[in-house]
Amino acid sequence: MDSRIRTRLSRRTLVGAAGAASALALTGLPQTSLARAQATPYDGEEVTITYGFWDSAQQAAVEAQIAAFKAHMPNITVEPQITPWEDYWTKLQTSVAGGEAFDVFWINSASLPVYAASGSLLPIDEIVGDGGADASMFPAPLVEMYSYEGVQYGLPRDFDTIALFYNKDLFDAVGVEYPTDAWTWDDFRAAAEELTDAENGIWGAGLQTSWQENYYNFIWQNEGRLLNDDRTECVVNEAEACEAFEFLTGFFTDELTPSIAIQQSNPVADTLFPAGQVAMLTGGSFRAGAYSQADANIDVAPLPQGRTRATAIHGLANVIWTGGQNPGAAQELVKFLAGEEGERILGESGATIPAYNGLQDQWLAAAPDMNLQVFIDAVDYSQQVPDPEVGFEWQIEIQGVVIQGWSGDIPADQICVQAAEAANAVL
Amino acid sequence: MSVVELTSTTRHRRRSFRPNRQARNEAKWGYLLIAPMMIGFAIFFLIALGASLLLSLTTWDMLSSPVWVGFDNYLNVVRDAEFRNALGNTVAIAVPNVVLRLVFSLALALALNSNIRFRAFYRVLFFMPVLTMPVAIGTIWKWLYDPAFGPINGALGRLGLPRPEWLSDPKTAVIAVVVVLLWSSVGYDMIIFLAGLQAIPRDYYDAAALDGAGSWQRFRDITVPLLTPTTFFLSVIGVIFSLQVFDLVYVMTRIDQSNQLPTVVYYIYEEGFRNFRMGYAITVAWFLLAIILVFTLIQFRLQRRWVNYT
Amino acid sequence: MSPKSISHRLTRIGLHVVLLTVGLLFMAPFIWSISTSLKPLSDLFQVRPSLIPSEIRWANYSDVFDTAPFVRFYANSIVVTIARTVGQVVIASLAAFAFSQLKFPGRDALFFVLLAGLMVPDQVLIVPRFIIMRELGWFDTYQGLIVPLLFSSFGVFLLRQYFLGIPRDFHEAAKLEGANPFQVYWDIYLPLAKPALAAFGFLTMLNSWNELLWALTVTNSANMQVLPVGIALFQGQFFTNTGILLAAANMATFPLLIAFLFFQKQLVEGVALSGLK
Repeated sequence: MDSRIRTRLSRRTLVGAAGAASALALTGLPQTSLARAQATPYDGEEVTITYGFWDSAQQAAVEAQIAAFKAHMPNITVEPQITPWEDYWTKLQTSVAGGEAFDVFWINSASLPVYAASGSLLPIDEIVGDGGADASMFPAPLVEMYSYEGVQYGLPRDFDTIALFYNKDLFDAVGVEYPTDAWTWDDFRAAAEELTDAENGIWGAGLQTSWQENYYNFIWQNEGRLLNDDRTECVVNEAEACEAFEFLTGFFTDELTPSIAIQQSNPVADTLFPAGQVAMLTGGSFRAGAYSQADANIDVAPLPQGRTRATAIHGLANVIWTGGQNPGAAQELVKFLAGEEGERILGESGATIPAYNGLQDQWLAAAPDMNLQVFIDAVDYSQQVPDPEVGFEWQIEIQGVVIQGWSGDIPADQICVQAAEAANAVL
Repeated sequence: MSVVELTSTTRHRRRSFRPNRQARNEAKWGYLLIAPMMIGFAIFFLIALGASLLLSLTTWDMLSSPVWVGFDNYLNVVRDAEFRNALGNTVAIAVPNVVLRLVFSLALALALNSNIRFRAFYRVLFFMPVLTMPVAIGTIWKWLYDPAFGPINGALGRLGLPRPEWLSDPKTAVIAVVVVLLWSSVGYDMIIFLAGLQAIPRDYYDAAALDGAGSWQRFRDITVPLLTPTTFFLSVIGVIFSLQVFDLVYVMTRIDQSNQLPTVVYYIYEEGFRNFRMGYAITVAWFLLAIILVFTLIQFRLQRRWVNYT
Repeated sequence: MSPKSISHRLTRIGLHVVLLTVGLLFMAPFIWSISTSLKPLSDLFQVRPSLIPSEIRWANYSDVFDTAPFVRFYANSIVVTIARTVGQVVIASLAAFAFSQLKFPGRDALFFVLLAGLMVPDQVLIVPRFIIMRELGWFDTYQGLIVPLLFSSFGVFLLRQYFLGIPRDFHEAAKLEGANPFQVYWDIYLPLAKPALAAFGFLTMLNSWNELLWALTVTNSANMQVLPVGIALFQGQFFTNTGILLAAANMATFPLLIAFLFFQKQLVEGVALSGLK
């Protein structure tokens, strides 16, 4: 895979490019330039801009935000445009390529570098700080997530962290004490052994194949790294990460967690855990709402700690497309959405944790019977997934190896080595 | 006068004289009648295809301008092991799929074209998978194939047989996927066969019955040969579509973000949209086009030997 | 009763047993999707799902309308589907008639070029098509949703094969009476091809009703969305309430089911060729 990219780049010749430029003009593609785009400030005229997002559960909140914005800026009409999650990125890429995209839209951290590097996003430095939006009101990792090569492209709107969901009834049945914030890896493992009841089809732990909800957390807890500091090389073959993978693989070899084959038909987080077949699950805050409605008696505790505490944090941001007709108006919208009022409306909806410091407690009402505070406290020791310019293909390569390893096709101590190889082949 | 007689008498008279003016007139009508189709096709397909041919000569992430690389993409596809793997998976699925679809949908169409009772009810029954949402199909089949809780392995276990991990083992996954594809598409093909069966004049059967032909003989001498235009259509279309299988295979076999049984069109999608290499993805699509084209040309060549046009 | 008629009966009964058993397997996912669409959320977290909901929750269906402007999606889908179906049948049958019954230079080559239209996955054509729409100013319009999908190579091929199967004598006889090719198409071939037109028309309707990729590409505003997009909105990134999702999906399927009940009669009871003597 690696050689393929390299050869293509190295053979690119200037002569060919010159002749080709005119041929490519025939395709009608908009010619983007990497020169840094700048927006002229909004001058108050009547305009309409579009706002692209994907989550229908947040549609009401988004519409309420737009209505509040309209009260401040009566001459800017914002048209919300929702696209289903499965197709959102395809549509976004197609419309950027075709030269007619959303003026303002949601983006996630993995997509930021590639969109920023290609000049598709408008820097928002001018509206941060003196310009009106206060970046210091957000958790630092989230702000950093949306800067690329020292330039800020977006401000966070919400976030999620990872914690340990557990089924109280299954704990009570075997008389194991509930997880506490003092739990270590060993406590986690010991409890999983006690809770596993093969005869009745009960597993002590639910370890998903999701990187964000599972193995990245453990790598960081063991003081391991995913990429080097330049984000150019994957280093999960370092000892700390290898140990984390071996620790997790042990749950699969000892059948303390549902096998990969079982998870393929029954995703742990979607069925096995809420159905009461699994006692503990490392999962994201975004699952709390659904679990509070399951018949199972579910609560949540912080992730167990290794050498240190760590959890993965991720959040979405609002960004501005460079090709839009009204970048000034788009900036006004982004500023409003990142402000106290916009974030408060989001928080009141209960659909997600607002990123704005001091407003996060609003979300606790989403599942009053659970100790949701652990997700907000986790921000203090949270880490972000490093995102290189080439997108998130490297993470899928790692996942492919991890799945093979947990299926028993790769020895436990080789998983980290092969994962790093696979990731580096595409980085 | 029956249709059978009409056939034999007019055949002698066919085109005994035909001035050139008439041929020109016929050609004029031909172009006129295909014009709406061809113009629309040119605007919405051929132009896009031409643009994609140019783009296949570039690296293009869709977000910035394409960069010319000449034939590098083509050379790289030839050497690409992932492409070969995807092609292998696709062929392994397509071959049994094409053959089994034809056999089963023909059998169904014949059964439900006879004057058997409740045939309308059965037609609906067998067509249901075509109407059912893909998400429902994917969910229920995954549950059927579930290695731990699923009914298939439950039954196998009770019979003392091995319980395969159907969807996560690539070997059994191909079988599992072919079954689901077959299940979901026989109804579709059955409809087309049913329509084809109506084109066979009843009088042929009546005449054959008068001559004392049995039902097997009538099937062999009338139904099979006169149905060949439809059979030909379904085998050509079957190859074209089977080599482009994507959604259902992906839904069935993926684990999280990781696809256990990538097919060619999945690979195109992945390279183009997920990995931001649209120039390369388009090149893979051109290889796929070439492969499908070869199979289709061969089928058209061979049709003279077995397809019966009246 | 004679032994022959007894064995005949047994064969019939056997056939019914086979058809019914296999048929149930074909029906199962639909039954399951009806049952699931009536389940409360807590029922969905089951490893061995039961067919009967613990309580019938009709509200899943009304939730669909509360979450999305489903009525508008319905109306859009109906308009777009009717237009595409009528257009495709007319355009494809004209071309199919010419390709199968008339002689003109380049005929077979042109036909083959049309077939190539089926051999390229839509994903790689989508950006050029997007740009064509931009140039035409057809974004977020009904013509943008309808016109590009009026040209079906599949339909031309299907109908061409059917026309080729119709004995040529009908054509020759009409020509001797001085009919021009359009009259032959209209007066003879269209009526004779009723089963094939019904099949193609129904399959077009079905494909159009379920079409998602193009609808997503060419529309933006909520007012222009069609049912498949509306249904996809119920699939979340992290969590999907399958009950509500399937309620939405079922509501899209019911009209098709009714259409099929009507259509399957047209398909086999429009006995065509024996009528002409």
